[in-house]
Amino acid sequence: MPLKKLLQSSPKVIPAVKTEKLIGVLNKLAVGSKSRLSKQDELPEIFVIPTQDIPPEELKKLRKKGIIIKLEDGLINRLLRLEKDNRHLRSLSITDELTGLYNKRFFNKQLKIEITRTKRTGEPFCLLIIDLDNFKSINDNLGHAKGDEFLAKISRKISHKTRPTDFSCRYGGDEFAAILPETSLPDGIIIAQRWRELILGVARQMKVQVSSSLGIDEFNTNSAISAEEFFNKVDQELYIAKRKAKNKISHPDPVSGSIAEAKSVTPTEKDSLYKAFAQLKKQREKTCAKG
Amino acid sequence: MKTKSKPLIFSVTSGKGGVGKSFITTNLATTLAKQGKKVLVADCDLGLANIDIMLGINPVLTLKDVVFGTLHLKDVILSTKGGFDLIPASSGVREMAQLLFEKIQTIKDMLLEIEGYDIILLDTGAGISEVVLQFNLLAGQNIIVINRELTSLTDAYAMVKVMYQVFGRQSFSIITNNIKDEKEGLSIFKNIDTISQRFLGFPLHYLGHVVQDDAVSKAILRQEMAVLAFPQARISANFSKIGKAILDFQKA
Repeated sequence: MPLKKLLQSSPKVIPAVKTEKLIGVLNKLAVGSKSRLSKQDELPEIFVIPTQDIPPEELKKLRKKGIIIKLEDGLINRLLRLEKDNRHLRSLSITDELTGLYNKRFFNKQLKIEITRTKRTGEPFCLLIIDLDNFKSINDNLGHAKGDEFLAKISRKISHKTRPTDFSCRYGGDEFAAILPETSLPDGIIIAQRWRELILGVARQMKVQVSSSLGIDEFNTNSAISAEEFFNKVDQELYIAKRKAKNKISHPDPVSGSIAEAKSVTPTEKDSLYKAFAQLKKQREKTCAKG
Repeated sequence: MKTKSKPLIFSVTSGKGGVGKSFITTNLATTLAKQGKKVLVADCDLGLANIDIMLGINPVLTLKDVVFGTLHLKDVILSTKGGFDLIPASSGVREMAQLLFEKIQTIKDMLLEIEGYDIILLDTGAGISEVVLQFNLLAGQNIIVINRELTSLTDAYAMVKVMYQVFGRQSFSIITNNIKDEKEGLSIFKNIDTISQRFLGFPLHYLGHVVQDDAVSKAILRQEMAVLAFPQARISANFSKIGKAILDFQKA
């Protein structure tokens, strides 16, 4: 039933907004001109439950909670306000204030999601941890404001220059982490190089001696480790990079993982090889006996 | 019209150690050189190089100077009494065996730059390490050496399987070494070929066999190339045949 008609027939409704995409459409509706809706606009999908269908005692409870909206309240506007507040609150809870990148809380959650996704789809993903070299020197010599400016600048560059599907996070003071979904290690290493170059570029621009050390590894269907263990593994790579020299990327050999996987000759294959060998031996003994 | 053709790169590999990779490589190189080809052998056994020992030479500059120094591969090439040129590796340098990934890349790039050869043979180390696989990947064709031992058979199969699963390679050549006669070599090959077809879905290519021969141990003791020291021995005929098979392979 069309929303308008439904709203007319039942003065009290409980609304629920479905998709985020809808907000734009609702906005246009709120302004009041239907003509501004383009053909591609998805029509509002609002689930409404007419209150006449709800038993009186249930209705009472709902009324107490204040989630029943009267038409005269300006449903659309109220919906929009709610959704906007929600989005604002959500973004506050997942972003880092200074850099605008995702925060550690979001990152930890997303890492678990990606691990589950890899297990389900079989697509590997990469985890990249970045630690700035010499960052302390900016804070010490030029002040914290300059340090913050540096962090904000690289973060802005990174949001622009990395793939939109990557999740870039500020993990700590001068430590960053990025989740690269559906990315295998060789491709991840290229992204890591991009991070390193970007950071060098900003450092050159601001005339400071800062570079970065990076650790990266791939999570694939053979990785039987938890999110924390995987994070520690990549952190270990970062540690190796730091120890080697500044401005380095450390990663496990991309090939070694797949070797470990393929190296094992299966029991059936082994069995066939053993049988073949036994046969060869028999032939040999036969010819020896003859000779 | 003369076009500069790229050299054909073969790797001689095995999975198992001690099956005679370096022996096969050097004698094959000598045979091909005798047939008029410009041959370069690269000793890629970074942990336990021994081609220099087989040839009785003690090179000053080795692969080590390329890896840890500033030299190009071209700078360490030397000619040998086998008639082929050699890039020697250095034995007993532990860290060489655990070469960094990037270093392998540079060595590979340098190898591809080298000109003036018809054939390059890469003698890889034993085992299925990343380094060995990288060199096998670099080579257009992998020659796998097998002898009559069970572990040689299983390790050769493991090598084929890994190269197939990791890099998608489906073309491998087999040489049987240290066997009684042609018949035994052929039945060893047939066995591994059948298993490859059954489990991996592709056949292997047989290059030929090298028989057990007293000439071999005599030549090794004297630090000479068996095919030069004993041109009349059965193994010399074996190598000629394998050399011909390789050149036929090149034409195909």
